[in-house]
Amino acid sequence: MSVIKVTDLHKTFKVSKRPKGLPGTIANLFAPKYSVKTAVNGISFEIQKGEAVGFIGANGAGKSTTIKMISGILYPDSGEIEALGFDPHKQRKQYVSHIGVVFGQKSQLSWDLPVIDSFELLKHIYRIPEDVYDSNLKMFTEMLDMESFIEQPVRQLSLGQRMRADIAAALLHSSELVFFDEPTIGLDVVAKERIRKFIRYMNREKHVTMIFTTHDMKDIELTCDRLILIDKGQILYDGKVHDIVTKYGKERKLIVEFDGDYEIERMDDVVIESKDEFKRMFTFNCEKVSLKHLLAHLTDKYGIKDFTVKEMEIEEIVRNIYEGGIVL
Amino acid sequence: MTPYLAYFKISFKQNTVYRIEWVLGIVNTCVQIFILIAIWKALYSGQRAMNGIDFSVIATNFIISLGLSNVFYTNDFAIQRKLNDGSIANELLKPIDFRKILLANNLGEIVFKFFSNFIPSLIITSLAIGILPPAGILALFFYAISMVLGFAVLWSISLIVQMTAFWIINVWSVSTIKDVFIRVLSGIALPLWFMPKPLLKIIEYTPFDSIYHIPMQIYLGQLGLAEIGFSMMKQIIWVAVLYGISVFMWHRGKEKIIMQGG
Amino acid sequence: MSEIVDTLSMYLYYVRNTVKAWFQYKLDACLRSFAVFMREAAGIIIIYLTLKSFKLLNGWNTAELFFLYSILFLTYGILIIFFTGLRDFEFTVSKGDLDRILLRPRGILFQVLSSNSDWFAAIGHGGLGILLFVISANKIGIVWNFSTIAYYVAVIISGVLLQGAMFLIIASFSFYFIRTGNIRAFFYYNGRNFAGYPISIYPKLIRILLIYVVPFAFVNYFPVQYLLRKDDMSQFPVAFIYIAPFIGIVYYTIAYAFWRFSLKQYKSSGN
Repeated sequence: MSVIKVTDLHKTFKVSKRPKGLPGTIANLFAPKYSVKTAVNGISFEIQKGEAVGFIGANGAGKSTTIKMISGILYPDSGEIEALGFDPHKQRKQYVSHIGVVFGQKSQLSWDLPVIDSFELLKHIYRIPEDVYDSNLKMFTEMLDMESFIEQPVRQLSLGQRMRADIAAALLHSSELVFFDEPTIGLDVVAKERIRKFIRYMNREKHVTMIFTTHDMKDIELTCDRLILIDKGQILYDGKVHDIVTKYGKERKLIVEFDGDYEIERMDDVVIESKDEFKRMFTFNCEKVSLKHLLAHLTDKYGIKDFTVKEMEIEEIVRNIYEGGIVL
Repeated sequence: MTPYLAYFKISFKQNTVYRIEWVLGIVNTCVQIFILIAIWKALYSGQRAMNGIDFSVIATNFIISLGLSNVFYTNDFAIQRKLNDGSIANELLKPIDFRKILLANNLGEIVFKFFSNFIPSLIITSLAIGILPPAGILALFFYAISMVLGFAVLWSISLIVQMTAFWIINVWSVSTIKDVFIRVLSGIALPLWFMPKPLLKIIEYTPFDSIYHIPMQIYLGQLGLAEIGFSMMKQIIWVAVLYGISVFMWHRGKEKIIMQGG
Repeated sequence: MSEIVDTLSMYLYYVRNTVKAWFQYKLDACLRSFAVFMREAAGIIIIYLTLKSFKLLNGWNTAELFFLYSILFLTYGILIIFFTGLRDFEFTVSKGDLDRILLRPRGILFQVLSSNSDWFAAIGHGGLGILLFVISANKIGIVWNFSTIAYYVAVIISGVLLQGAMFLIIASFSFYFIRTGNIRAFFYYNGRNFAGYPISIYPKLIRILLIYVVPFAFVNYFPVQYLLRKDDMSQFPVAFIYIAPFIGIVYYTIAYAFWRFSLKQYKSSGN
């Protein structure tokens, strides 16, 4: 049975039109205007237990709306959602006792109280059995290295510490499904990796199903195995992260450092850019142009000191998809 | 001058955004006035005048002074807010005077409220109840000046309250207590003509009758020319004294901040 | 049964946490209580000073007016112990904390109510209420026997529920638009200001509002009339005196239904 099953979801909003200028502002006092915005326009997908799925989309593309509907905060105009066997809207209390949500921008912990106090409160709220609470707490404290600050009030914590505490908070009640919204935003590289490592562990060893909404491609690359791209309320791509690279990441960049300032002869299907006096970058489609032949050709005609080959980054691929450069 | 004008404009515009709030604001003011009028009508139990004061005088007092008290908004928390989020440092570094910005902001809000709240309330209540016109053009003229002075007194008191933010955590308590004193002693809830004499004597030595009562007396023509001059002088002196205290506190407060390193 | 115990212990847990956080700011807390006390006492002081010149207000003397007023404070003091969360609900919504509440496996209203308790407002108002009661209770000619005491307790509870219902309805408006401060000020606080005095002094429209729309008349005026039977009661149906103890729960039930309905609207419109 799938953990999440979403069928033909639709959602529209009324948005009030902001008036411009002073006369408009006063007129708006009497007769406010609205426009209708379609946020989600027929989205369907299924997520199985233990999957880690990343949702990518521009702001306003419909991804947060979809997530809100799955988590039960919002209910759809039409379509069906089944999550963990529940209707998120109609069976709210039962449903949310099995899920966790991490908002990167907003902590769920009490600002003035020590972290451990917030955890205890959650123990009560979620009615976590004593032994489960103790073992989870111990595991998280260790893995997330929280011993040093678990007694401190949340307002005294650094962003990285707070984020770790928030993630622990979302998993404390042994949640089967966790939503992450920008979980590593604002963190330094070391902190990000520590959190990704923990998330991977919980996903792969403990089989916690995870959904990510984030703009950080590295998050997706390093923690998700599946990627769903949403644009204008619809799904543009739904498939493995790995596949999107192999299928659409055809572009290669060959960066060559020559031993002299050569005038490189133009070649078909290759874009040449000057990076430096002696450096040139060759951009080409690896299906159209063979890397082997290109290198051989260049080595023959010119003196080469060094070279590197770069694949396309997911970020670039996604951007290309959005800009219509890649057609799916 | 123009930077202050910008703050004024923004404040004005922000206030137009919430239309429901606007209507409710007017209703709110009218309700307050109606309650007091109802109470005093019952107190007068049908008589036209008590102790030589006509009922219409009481009505006018409430309509105008109480109405104005809803408009004369002062932000007692501005400094506390700046201290809390640390932006006080900016204020000490900016070339423009922070207090002038505050005043410009407030004035924007007040002018907006004057037209959006006071005038409509004035129209509604004077149609429903009946208000005395000013006792002549001269009275109206002096009233306008005196009213501005009255606000200046209020503003200076507010500055003092704001300054306490340098020493106590939450200005709210001081601000609330200040509001209580004004509400009880300035004549907007209990017209000072009916204040028990011993207490009235004390009030005359405080700034409290300089805010709403003196202007009201001028409006109603209760004061002769000399008395008007004397009263306005009293208002001015209070403004000076209170403002002076606030300046003193501002300097001491700045020192405290600088010593503590923010 | 264990559900109730569980819920109660959870509630107490919340309470303990709230008080703990509050005692971080002791002096501020004291000043606050005093300020609240003063602010509410202002109305009393004003009546007192006013009546020095007039003696009677529609047949009510100072002690009787104090007694009338005291019920407002007592009920509000009790009210605010439990309903602070609702009073501040518009901030919960505007800060975005409502979503977090929706994601927790507890009743929405339960979470809102247990999240905060303004003990200091409670002490300020409650203290004033008790003080006024003590000053006036034996000067107004009430015989305190079993039936009068039972009635008094019942109307206090009903008064708390009535005002809780008003808070609920007003808080529900947060689900529709953001700022409810002015609405609360208009309906609730003005209603309460009106109710500080015998409603017989007001024109018909106001009386109707105070009986049917913001029913403060049932919080203090009619209950006190049961005990005092002043002359101005003749302007109202006697039945009102007898339904006063029961109307609280009725109103609360209606308010709760509206709350649930409004929550649905919120979940549909997506803030």
